[in-house]
This record gives sequence, C-alpha cells and structure tokens, in this order.
Amino acid sequence: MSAAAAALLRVRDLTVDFRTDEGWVRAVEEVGFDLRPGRTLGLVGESGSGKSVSTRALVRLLPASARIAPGSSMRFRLRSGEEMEIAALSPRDRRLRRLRGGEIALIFQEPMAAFSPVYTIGHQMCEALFAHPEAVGGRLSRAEARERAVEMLARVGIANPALRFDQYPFELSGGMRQRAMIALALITRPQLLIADEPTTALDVTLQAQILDLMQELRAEFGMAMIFITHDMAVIAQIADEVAVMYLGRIVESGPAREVLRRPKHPYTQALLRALPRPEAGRRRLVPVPGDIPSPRERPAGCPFHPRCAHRLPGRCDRALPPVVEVGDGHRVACVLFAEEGGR
Amino acid sequence: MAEERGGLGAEELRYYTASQWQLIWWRFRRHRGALVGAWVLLVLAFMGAFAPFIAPYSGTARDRDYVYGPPQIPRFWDENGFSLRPFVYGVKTERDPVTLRKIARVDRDQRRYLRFFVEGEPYRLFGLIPMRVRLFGVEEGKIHLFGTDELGRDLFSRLMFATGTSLSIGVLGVLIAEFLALVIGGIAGYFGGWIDYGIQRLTEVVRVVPVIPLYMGLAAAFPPEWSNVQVYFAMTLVLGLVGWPTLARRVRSHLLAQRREDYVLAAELAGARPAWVIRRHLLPSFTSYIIVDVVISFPYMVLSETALSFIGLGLRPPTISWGILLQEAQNVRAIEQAPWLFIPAVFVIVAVLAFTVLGDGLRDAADPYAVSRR
Amino acid sequence: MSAPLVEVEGLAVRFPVHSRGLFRRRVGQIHAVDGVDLRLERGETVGLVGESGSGKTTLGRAILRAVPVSEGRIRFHLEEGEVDVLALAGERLRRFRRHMQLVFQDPYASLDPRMTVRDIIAEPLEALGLAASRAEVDERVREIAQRCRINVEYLRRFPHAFSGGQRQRIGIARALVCNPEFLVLDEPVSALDVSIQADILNLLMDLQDSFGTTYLFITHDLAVVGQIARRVAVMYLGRIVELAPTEELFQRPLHPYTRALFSAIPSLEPGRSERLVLAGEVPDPAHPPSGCRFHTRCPFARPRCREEPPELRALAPDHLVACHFAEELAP
Repeated sequence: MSAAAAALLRVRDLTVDFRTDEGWVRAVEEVGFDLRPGRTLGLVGESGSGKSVSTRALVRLLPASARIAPGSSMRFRLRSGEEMEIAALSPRDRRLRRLRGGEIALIFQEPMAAFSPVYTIGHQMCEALFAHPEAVGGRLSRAEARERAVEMLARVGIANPALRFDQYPFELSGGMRQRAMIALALITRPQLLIADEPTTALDVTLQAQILDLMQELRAEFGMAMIFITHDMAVIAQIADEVAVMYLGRIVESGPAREVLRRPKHPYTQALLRALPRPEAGRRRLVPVPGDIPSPRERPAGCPFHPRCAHRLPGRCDRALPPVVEVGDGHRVACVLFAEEGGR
Repeated sequence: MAEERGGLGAEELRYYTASQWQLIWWRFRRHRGALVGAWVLLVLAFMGAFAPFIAPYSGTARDRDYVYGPPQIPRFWDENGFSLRPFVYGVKTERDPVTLRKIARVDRDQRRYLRFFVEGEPYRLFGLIPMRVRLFGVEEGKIHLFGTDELGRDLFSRLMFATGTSLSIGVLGVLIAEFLALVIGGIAGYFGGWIDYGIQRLTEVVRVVPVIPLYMGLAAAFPPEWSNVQVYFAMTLVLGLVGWPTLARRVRSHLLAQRREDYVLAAELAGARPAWVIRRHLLPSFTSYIIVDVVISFPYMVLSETALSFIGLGLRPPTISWGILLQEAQNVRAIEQAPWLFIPAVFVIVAVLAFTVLGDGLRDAADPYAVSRR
Repeated sequence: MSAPLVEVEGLAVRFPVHSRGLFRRRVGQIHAVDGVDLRLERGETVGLVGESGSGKTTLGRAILRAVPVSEGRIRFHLEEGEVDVLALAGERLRRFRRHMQLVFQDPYASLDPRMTVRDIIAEPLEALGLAASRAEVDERVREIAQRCRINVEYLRRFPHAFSGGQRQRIGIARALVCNPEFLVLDEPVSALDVSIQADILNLLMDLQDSFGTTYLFITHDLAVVGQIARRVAVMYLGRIVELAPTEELFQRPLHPYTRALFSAIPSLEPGRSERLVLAGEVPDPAHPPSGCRFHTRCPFARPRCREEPPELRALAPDHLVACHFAEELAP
C-alpha cells in the first residue's frame, strides 16, 4: 500500500498476553493499523476490548505481568527519519525514554495521574523540555524554558499562565488540570499524541471545550493522534479514521465518516443502534443481546458471534473471519462479507 | 437475556457460588510461604497444647546425673553395630579429681533404647485428663534431646511447656487487645464526630507513652505475693492494654471506609436498623481484616512477653516461658559451656518469622474483591 | 394521571463547611440544593439533568431522606393518605422506606460482595419484616428476579460472578422487591458499556409499565433522558433552571444553559453549524455567584442577571424557565 510508505506508525499483528492466576489471558490479538503524520485514529471499544492495552504497548508502559507476543511489530518513524521497532526494545532500553514524552506523548482520563503532586506545573513542564533537548531544538536555559512553558499554558487556554506556572496541580480546577495536562504533553511537540479517554470523566460542556481545543492543537502542530474512547459520537467529532475493537481484535476499520455512515460489521451496527440519540420520545432501544464476555472466556471463532444476530452456525463459532476490504480503506472482519467478496 | 452461555463447567459454578471465605482460602492456598508459616505455627501450637504428653519429663524434674549435659542425639549405629531402634548413650557421673565437681561422662557401651508411648510420671493433659503415657522415653535412665541446664532439668521438656505458655500469653494478649480495639475503635468509627475525635486523642496519648517503661511500671505493680497464675493473667492484661491502640485505629478506619460504601446506604434505605447494618454488613466486611490484624500483631505480643521475662519483669520461675528460658541462658557459663541453652531463641525466631509470613499471605488474600473490581 | 405522587416545595440542602481541629467552627456552607419545587405525577418519569456540582444527586437523596434537609416540604400522596415525609423520624421513617427506593450508579459498590444475590434482593423485605415467612420472601425474590430478567438459577451466586449490567439488574430488583411507589434512579446506566445501557433502559421502561412506579431519573446525559422521561428538569448549581415536557424541551430549549447542554452533545454527524460552547467551569457551590447563578458563564448575561435571581416562571403551559430574558433569547 502506498500509505504504508509514508506511515508514521505501522502496527502489525500486535498481540499482548497477561499472566493471571488462571493462566495467560489474551488482551489484544493481532491488531494492525497504519497512522500517517497529522491524522487522527479513533480507537473505539467497550470494556475489555483492549483499546487501552494496545496503546500502552506502543510506549511499552505495560504492567510486568504483560507480554508482547513474538511476531508483533510496531514500527515508528523517528524525527530523525530512522525507523524504530518498538516491539523489539527491551522494557529498560534507554531509547524508550526518548520515545516517551519526546516522540510520543500520552494524556489520560485522570489528569492528576499525569502530574506529580509535589512539583509545580511549570517545574514539570520545564523538566520535560530539559529531558528532551533533541525534540525542542537543543538545550534551553531556565528562562527560555519558562517562556516556552508559559506560552504553551496560554495556548491551551489557561488564563494567567504566568501565575499558573508556579502553582501545584491540586490548586487548579478540573478543567484547568485537563488543559495543563495537554500543555505538559505537547510542550515537546511530539509527533504522536495518544489520548486515552481524555474527556470521559468530564461534564458535557467541558468535554466540548476540550475536544475543540484538541482539534485545534492537532491541526496547528501537525501531529498524529490516537484517540481512545468508548463513545462513537466523540469519534465522529474528532477522528479521521476509526478502528472498532471487540475483545482484543479490530473488527472493523476505515475512514471515520464511512464507518459511521455505512457500518458493516454487526457489532459496529449494533453499537450505533444502541446509542441513545438526543431526541425526545419514549421508545424502546435496540440493545445488543448478552453481555461482553470476560477476556478469559473468549469465545472460539469470531469473538462477537455469541451476541451476533447474523451469525452462521458452524462457521462463525469455528474459525476467525477473514478481513475483507469493502471500500476504500474500509475493512471488516466478518464472514458475511467474505462471501460477497468471493463471488 | 439471562440465559447466556449455557453449559457452565463445574469449576465456574464453584467459583460463582463461592463465599468470601472460600475465595480467601483459594487465594491463600497459592501463597506457599504463608502455608509453610501456618504449618510451623500449627506444629508449635500442637507442641504447646500437648506439652506434658510430648515432653518426656515434667518441667521441673531434675536429673542429678546429667547437669549441664549436652544434647543427646539419637543414633542408629556406632562402632558396636547397627540397631533398628534408635538409642542414646548412658551417662555416668564422676567427680572431677581436681575441682571435685560432678561431671557427666558418656558411657559408649551402655545403650539406652528409645521407646514410644512409654509410661512416665503421672500428669494431667490440659490440666484435666489424668494420664501416664508419654510420647517417648527410654527404658532405663533418662533422655535429654536438647541437653540439660545447671539444675539438670531437661531442656526439651521445658521448651515444650514454655511454647505453650508463651503462645497462650500471646493469644490471650491479642484477644484482650483486639476486644478493646473493637469496642473503642468501633465506637469511634461508627459514631464519628466529637466522640471519634476524643477517642483518637486518647489513643494517641496511649501510643506516645514509651513501651518499656510502661511495661516496667505495670509489671513492678504486681505484688510479689501473687501466685504464678495471677502473674500470668496480669501479664496478658498488660500486653492487651498496651497493644490495643494500633488495632483500634485500624478497626476505626475500616469502619469509616465501609460506612461510606454504597451498599451500607442501600441497606439503610431498605429500612435496616443500625444493629442489622452492623451485623449483616459491617462486621462481615472486616472480620477477615481483623484476623489479619491479629496474626500480624501476634509476634509483638510474644516478643513483648519474651523481652519482659528476659529482663526479669514478666513471668517468674517456676513458670516456664521462652523469656524465662532465655533469661536462664544469660550468663557467661551458659555461653561458654552450654550453648544448647540458646535453642529456645531459635524457637522464638522461627515462631515470629512464621507469624510474619502467614500474616503477609493472609493480608494478600483477605480482600478477595479488591482485584475483581475494575 | 393528574394526582401528584410526590410534591417537593422549597427544598434546600445545605452542608456546613467546618474548619479542622478540636473546635470545628462552621466556616461556611455549601448550597447543594437551593429552593427546589418539583411535582411528580403517579407513574411518570421525570428526568433530572445536570452536570457535576448541580445538586441533582443531593436532591434525589434528600427526597429519600438520605441526606439532612435544611428547609422545605416533601409530601407523598399515597392511597392511605398524605404523608409529610420531613415530619417522619425514627421508626416511622424506617417503616415508610418501603414506599421509596434508590437505584445506585455504581453497580459494584452498591452490592455487598459477601451476600448472595438472593440475600441482597431480599434485604428490604427482611429488614422491614414485610414477609410473613422465609418461603414468602423466597417467593417474592424469585418473582421480582424473573421480572428483572435475572436467571433464578443465579440467586445462590455472589455478586463477583456478575458483569456490570447484571449487577445493575440485581440493584433494580432489590429496589423494587417491596413494591415502592417511588424510585429514584441515580445515573443507573452511566457506569455501563453502551451495548448494555439500552438493555437496562428497556428493562426500566418495562418495569414501569407493569408496576406503575414513579421514576425520578437522574443523569448527566440528555440523550438518555430523552428516551425515558416524560418531563425533564435541568439543574444548575442547586437550582432548577428549566422544566418542561421532554419533547417541548428538546425542540425549544429556552434557558441558555439548556441550549449549551444540547449543543455540547457530540453528534454522530460531524461538522454541525452553530454551536454554543460555554466558557469556564461550574463555580464552587460554597460561593455561588450572585443573582442568576449562571451569569458567570452565560454568553447573553446582562447587568440585571448579576443582581436579581430569576424566578422559575411559565413561558408556555408546563414549560418553566428561570431566565430574565428567555422571551428575547428564544430561538
């Protein structure tokens, strides 16, 4: 594919297992996607879908009980143009430190998790600048670092940035903290921002503010973004491409507009149907039958088949469905389309 | 919707219907160190409880023929041949021609065969059942597995009795401390407000008093004419009175945390009375924690008893405890000539370590719901 | 449908703020709920929408007497007569609890992990002594479990065996087992995955159809409330700013805050026009703004808003709004 050549990040066959008391449990299985510079990929899924685990694997921030299976590949193109195979690094490799924060930044649902409570916000932003001289164009003086940090705080919409610079994270309100976390992540101008449900804990009015801000900053800095969420509507607002995950596998992926308008996989369709619309009128919703199984009880064959209205007995419960391209970049892992594609 | 995924395995069904205690046990079982600790403690407790049966002699019986005698190790063969039944050598007492002191000499020609379930001096098991049978003994003469002390008393027998005393003092001390902690911490945690505030400050006052002088003061208050039984119970009371504040704090914080749980509010809104809430929700929610607390604070009790008796402030002879045995070992002659008198120290160390590992394992297993919540 | 079941008038809940230390002086108070009037008719669902800090949860719990009420009146019109709920205390309040129950947001924290599903559901019956025998308790538990689509085989199990959606069904069964006339649902689907939410909402609607229970449905999610509620009240900083039948509110939101809430909902159709994005955050409820509490964030605020608190007034039949300039601003 031509897109692959220009890709900032190419993930292939990413598989992550966790060691538990009951043995190995597969959290992510054979996940693959490409991400080009400046694009936003939305990773959408419910609990247990492996959307967070797969991005943690990208920066090798998995717990000690996790193992990236051999054969997984995550190729990232550094600023220098050099390609790095993240899956091959040892968890203690020094190059990881350059990668995290310098090339790839993360923001989380809970901003207090991103900050140390005992240092001021400004101090932590300057630390990031000093830690990644290669990303910010050489060693900075204290005054230069401060200037850049204050500028960044102002850019994310924090009033009185010079004052906030010297404050501790707990002194900020919830929305301010969220903005400060974004400022901290972006101060090194990373090539890729991973946002793990950054707006889930926020009230809707704040969520709207933060989503707008992230859109603006992404365009301005030209960085790529992986946006993790469980909310299809948020994906519609922010993502160029979308990958829908269920029980550790990508079941459908493609351009966001296309996938949301013409969802092909029964799971994507069901998820969109189950979404309450902001319209009045008491009516029954169309629920997805059954419960999400726990990853340790992963069904054989297609992971969604026990809940699927279109399952083909004898096929869906036997083998994994093939991935079929149904449109330009729109791929579905479902036997229903394998048939059509084959004829 | 309810009938998803038919055909549950027996294994899964067992998990789904498992109560809190079953979950705790399943998790505890995987903790190998804690299991070893539990076994060690069971063996020690068994020794203490059945001390008169296991010990070949009473704790005060003297063997005038074997004073400061080294441990006798049962053997199966020597230059005189092999025997299926283990034996120890006989001893002869002679007078040292120079110092005129009695010394025990091993007579390698005389074999004393070890026999099990022999008739010994009469005793009462648990102070009730009159019995004569002892676990083991020799037919003629005596056997001293761990040697004897300066009065010719059998150290092995004394150690069995001491184990019983020290562990039971620990148990009683912990029970008293835990009872006080439950009442005081429970009141503080359940009522909160200024009652909690007052109790908290009182706890702090008790906690800041240095422990050793407090022990000394309390122990010095025991009248010398008290019987050993009285001193024994007074000791447990002292240990309990000093030990409760730490436990009380933990009870209080458990209670405060549990009271804020939604399910407690749910019960109150369901019309439950306070007694119901306490009985059905609060107490079960921290019984497992209380057990952990007890196990963890146990070694401190045992150590306190040992330390007090060691410096001569706790129990007094003829009561036998680990502390008293160690006290008797604290002279130059013991260190020089009778190192076996330090065997009780090994027991103390093993017991404390066993408690610590067990407490560790229990603590990990005590909250089986911590992990499953996401 | 005209007789109200629950009538709330001028309800206020204030939490004292204490200083630390031995002499815990009162240094201020938080106006969590400030003068709320609300009527719930028999068998209807009223949605209560607001963001964090709006006081919606406190209002729901105040009606259930789960938090101390500072001022106001709460009356229940039951078949056996009118009850002044705030006058109840002790044993009489306890006995009254069979008429009103709560469903919690967190399906994990709200079920005691040490009790079997049967014991959890049976708790209101047993605690209130509403059943004559153990057999009767079992019978009623089985009946409500079936109604809530819980497999009766599961009654012997413990909560750790269940997923969030199943747990929420257990919580609903516990709330309904004593046949309450009034149910407060405090964000009952917010903690659940999207594919499970619809199922719980459907269940709640089915149960209402068969039992005729009156629901106060608390949520931060306008989309959810649109599915289930007949009328919606929007709260901001302890006050109701708008109250209208659901369709009316969705078609013609009058309060600027309600309009902002609607425009903040991310839509599946990207790139809509005309959005009203609010600046700033909800102010600290210990120091609410003067006048109209929304004026600090309102894009249309005028000097009058800073001084004079607006009354909740009817602009159309049944459509109440607390804004001085609602007529002018109406789209």
